[in-house]
Amino acid sequence: MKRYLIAFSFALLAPSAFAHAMLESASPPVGGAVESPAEIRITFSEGIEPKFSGVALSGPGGAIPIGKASVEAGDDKVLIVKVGRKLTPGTYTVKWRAVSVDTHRTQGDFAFTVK
Amino acid sequence: MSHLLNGALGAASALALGVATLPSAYAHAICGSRIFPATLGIDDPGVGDEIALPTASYLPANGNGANQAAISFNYTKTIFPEFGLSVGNGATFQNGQGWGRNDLTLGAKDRVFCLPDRELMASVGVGVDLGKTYTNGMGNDFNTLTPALDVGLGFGGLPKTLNILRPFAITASVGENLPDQRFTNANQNPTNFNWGFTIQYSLPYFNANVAEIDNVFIKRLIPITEFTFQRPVANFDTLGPAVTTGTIQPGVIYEGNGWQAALEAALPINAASGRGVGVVGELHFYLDDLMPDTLGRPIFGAKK
Repeated sequence: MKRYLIAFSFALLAPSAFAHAMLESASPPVGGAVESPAEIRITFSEGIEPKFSGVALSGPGGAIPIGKASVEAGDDKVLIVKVGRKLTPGTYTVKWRAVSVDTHRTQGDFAFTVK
Repeated sequence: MSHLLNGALGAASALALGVATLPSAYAHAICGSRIFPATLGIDDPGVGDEIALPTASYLPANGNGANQAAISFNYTKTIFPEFGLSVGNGATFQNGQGWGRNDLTLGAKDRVFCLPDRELMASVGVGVDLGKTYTNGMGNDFNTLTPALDVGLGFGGLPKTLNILRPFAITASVGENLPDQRFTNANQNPTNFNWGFTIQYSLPYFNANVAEIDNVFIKRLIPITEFTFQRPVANFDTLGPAVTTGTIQPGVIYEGNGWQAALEAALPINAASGRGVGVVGELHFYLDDLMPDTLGRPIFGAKK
């Protein structure tokens, strides 16, 4: 029990050490309008496991093939997916799923517009 | 899970004691893209390893006209990933009577389903108020069993043309207090029906799914209004006509990483529920986030 109490105390002192990975920001921005992006970057509240995380992109013509998910070197909170081709103007939807480093799963989707 | 006990069971104590109750809080729950936060008035639809510590409330005047304050905690431990047991306790102060410890409350709750794409989840639970575990008159001399159903629905499934409405969610809870004695010391112990619902607008959901919010504080807020009601439905004929009591609780929840803080006003719906504007607040810790390898994982069936 003493071990648990000590662990609990540390957990409260460092409350952002482990948690579900929530989307903090993205590029292209959630709901934003941009030129055709070369990549999709999603910044989460927690570090993620790229092997179990991913992104699907769809647009006016349906699903769009994109690259495998990776994390930014030195910052496992940033998920990066390369977009292999130039996107035509229109509205696109990003569906993401993330598994945080402590194995909690989250998911979400957002739209952006290519000008 | 604590609302099941401190709310619904509190309602039983409320009639027995003539005091107004401001229930303690419960667990957060994630279904698809939706986080249902722990709420103060009714239980949320999820099951998790969590602790509400403390939940504090104040009413200028309860149903008997007495100034009242209360403080409590509730701890939930998952046994299986979707099944948890809880324990809660607290103390209540009434002007003229002083402080007294409330009855010990125990609970069991099971998440029945979660439909991620629909952001729809439900759970069933049962709570037990253990009579005669109180001090200074702040509990009951009988046990009370309270089965309950909790449901949550996010609006994220709405079409993108209604994007601004997608952060909305509603949760609801229904339950019934079932005392194990019809009379105690010649006092009738009524069966109460409890129900309530919340309307919440999640700015974290807005930030992640609709449009980004630059302000790091605002994008973690969830404005919410809770509605909680109780009404005797059986075994109350010597107590006079049935009167519905309850509170309306507008407020806001701040979602941290692994914890949340909530603050709500408490507006009694009638004189039988109290008078004046009360307040209820809570700190809530999600142990599955804070301690995923120890206290925050189920005893059986953990994925890791």
